[in-house]
Amino acid sequence: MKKQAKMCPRETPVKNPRVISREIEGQTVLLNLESGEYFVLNSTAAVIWNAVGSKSYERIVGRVAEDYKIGKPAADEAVGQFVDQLLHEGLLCERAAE
Amino acid sequence: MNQSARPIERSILTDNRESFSASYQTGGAVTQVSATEERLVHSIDGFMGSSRLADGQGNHHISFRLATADRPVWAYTRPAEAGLLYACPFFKCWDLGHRRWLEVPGKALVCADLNDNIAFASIRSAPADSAWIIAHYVFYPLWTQMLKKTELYHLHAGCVGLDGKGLLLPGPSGCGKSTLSLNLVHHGFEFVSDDTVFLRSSGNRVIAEGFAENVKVSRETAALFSELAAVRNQAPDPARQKLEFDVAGVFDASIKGSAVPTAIIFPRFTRGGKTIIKPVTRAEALTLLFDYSMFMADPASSARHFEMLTGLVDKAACYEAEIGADNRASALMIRKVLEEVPA
Repeated sequence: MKKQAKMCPRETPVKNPRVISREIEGQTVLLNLESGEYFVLNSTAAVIWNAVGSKSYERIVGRVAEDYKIGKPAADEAVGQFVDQLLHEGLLCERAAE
Repeated sequence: MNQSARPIERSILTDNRESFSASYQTGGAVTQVSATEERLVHSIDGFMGSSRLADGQGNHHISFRLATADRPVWAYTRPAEAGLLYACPFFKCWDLGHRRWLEVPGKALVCADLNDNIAFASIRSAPADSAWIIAHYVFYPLWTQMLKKTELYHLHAGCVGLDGKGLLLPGPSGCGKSTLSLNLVHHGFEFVSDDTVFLRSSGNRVIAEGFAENVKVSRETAALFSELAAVRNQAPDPARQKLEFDVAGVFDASIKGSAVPTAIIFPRFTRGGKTIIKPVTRAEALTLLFDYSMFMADPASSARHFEMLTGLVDKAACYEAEIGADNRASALMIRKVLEEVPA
């Protein structure tokens, strides 16, 4: 199976280039082009997904804390769990060497 | 119509071995099936026969070659580094780059090159009723992947038309696609396909090309339609106990080669009660379409396939339906849905 989560530093997740996404009427649909597996993200998850790669982990946590009016520790836990899940599903991977 | 009785082209190769072949057209793509034994080509011909080309030696886009395992023409070797791409109770598929390996336990080994659009299948000696397995488990899964190279994307769906509007009916095997398609045809819709379409882009439109396979129904479904009185007296095929017929020869219906889908209904039979049709979100419709498509291709083809399906849900109105036993009422409800969606 190609679904191998590659552990990478929490602050540097990037999207798997083999994953394609499309927002349709407020829902974000992801398709892993290699495995054919697909995922539908709710609006909170879509905020995190859209920020990955362009914002630091800390800024994503700050954005979620602000948008949902929760403390940073709670936002950190929620974002961390989601990022771990994306890594596990192979939707995120290690940042490419720069 | 018994297409299997049609003669298969025979030739003698340079090493004096016999080769049998036939070619088929699907949405503009030509597939040549060749084999070391005539019965192997007949297995595919029973499935594809109505799209057979009269001249079997034209230019082809896809080549599918079959041989029996006791008279091998090539060696099957699946590299250890190939990754498992797809597994179901009937077969497994592995990939490595543009190569695919498909194994049907106890029945066949197949390898395909998606760049060259060529596949080789090694078939174990098997009784005559294995024709269905050869067509559906050995040929079909990799053939649909090779068709993507010609920009034709498989979708497990029935399709009918009405006044220039197409209606897709996607769903898994046994969900009632054929029954619903025939019910709509019985009530004046045009027939495109009852089980499979191939999607292709034309400008900014998505077109559903019908698949010329004969319709196969259970005795229970055949009993629903007066047009199928004679079909009910046929012997069912031994493998699946289905009755097979050509819609054009049985129903007084207009047959269309293709349609532009303006609506999609995901049907589910309830075996009773009244038909209920309700909208589904486009995202939900997209993921349901993923379920009825086969993504076992290279990432570039899968990306185009994804775009094709998102283009489809962008343009078509999407519904799910619980189909009740009220055949006439359900046909009228679906007609109303299709009349109300913009062309």
